[in-house]
Amino acid sequence: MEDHQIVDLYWARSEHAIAQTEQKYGRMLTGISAALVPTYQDAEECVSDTYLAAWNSMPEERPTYLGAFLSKIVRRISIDKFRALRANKRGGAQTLIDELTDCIPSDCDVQAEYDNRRLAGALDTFLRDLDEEKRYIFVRRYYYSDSILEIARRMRVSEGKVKTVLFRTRNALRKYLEEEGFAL
Amino acid sequence: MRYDKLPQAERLFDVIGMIDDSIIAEAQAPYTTPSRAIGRKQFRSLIALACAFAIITVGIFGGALLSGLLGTPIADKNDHAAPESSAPSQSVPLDQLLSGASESDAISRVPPQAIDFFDGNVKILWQDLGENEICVLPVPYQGQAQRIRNLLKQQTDSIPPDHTDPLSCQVWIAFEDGTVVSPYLKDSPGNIGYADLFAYAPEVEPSPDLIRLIDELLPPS
Repeated sequence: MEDHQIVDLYWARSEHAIAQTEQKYGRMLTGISAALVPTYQDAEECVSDTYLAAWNSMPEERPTYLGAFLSKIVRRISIDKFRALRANKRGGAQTLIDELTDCIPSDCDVQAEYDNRRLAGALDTFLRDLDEEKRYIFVRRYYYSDSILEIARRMRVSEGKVKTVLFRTRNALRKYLEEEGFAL
Repeated sequence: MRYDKLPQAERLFDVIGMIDDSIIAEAQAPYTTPSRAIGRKQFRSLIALACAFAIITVGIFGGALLSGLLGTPIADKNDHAAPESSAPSQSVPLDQLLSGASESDAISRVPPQAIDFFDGNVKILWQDLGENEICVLPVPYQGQAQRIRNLLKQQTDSIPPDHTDPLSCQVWIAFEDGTVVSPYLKDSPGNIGYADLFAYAPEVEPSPDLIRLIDELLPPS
């Protein structure tokens, strides 16, 4: 089923929307989540939460690239889950710090959100200026969380080449962010 | 690793999740090296060459066929005594066809970890229920591999969700770029594996044309 057809199902509040989503993107979403969270069970939970989030966001949202839309949600949920599990593991200071986030004024949230969007825009520009190979490697590693070996196999190149490209691209990104005045 | 930079690195990792959807979608697809793409001029030359080859081939063999030199008469539509299909296994489901061929000495059987997904060869792989070893059937010609790719994209006969008959074997097709698909799954990015054999629940019936093509590749029983 094409993406726009699945999105139409969400907008029509059809019970088949999630099933079609799972059929088309289930493995991809599980793969993204499994790379970020400790256990497969955690990944399955994140993917289930993703379907719920997708259901709740449509209508209103009408994504052009459904795969990208869903992958952003599962990535976000998985990173949050990873942090929550990490905080539980550490206990002590981490738990206290997390509690103190309640004290941070919401203006800071708005400012942080604005800064993040500016940074995301800069990342878009940086990535579009890269050649296709470097951009592909960077996005597969840092967005899709592929291992070096997986990327090397996808692209039929050596792991050494992937590592070299990533190293050079990271350096180029640092230089670019410095020149653009981003203080992370 | 600079531990003092970890919080900023975490923020950057978060913000990477906000990049444009088109960039994400581009990396979602399998990677095609730029050298595989051909220019317009080369494409036109290839088309012209292909047309010339087709005309010559039809000219040589088409006339011979019509004159009956090859001794294969065209069947009369009204001829009820027309010979049966030369591929009786067309009606056999793919899983049963392959399971039936598993015992043939001409089929290699290897442990899953011994399969090389990057040897540049296209392979049909299947694993019988309860078995660990994988049966391997090479697809020797590029034309056959391309036909398989095309047929996989065209499959539409969905298996009903309440279908309960188990398959005799799990089937995969591994292509030269490491991608692995199953003829029992619909063509979609979510159903592609890389260099691994994955468990799945069947979604579509492999088409008769695909089964016929695979049957042609199997060694004679």
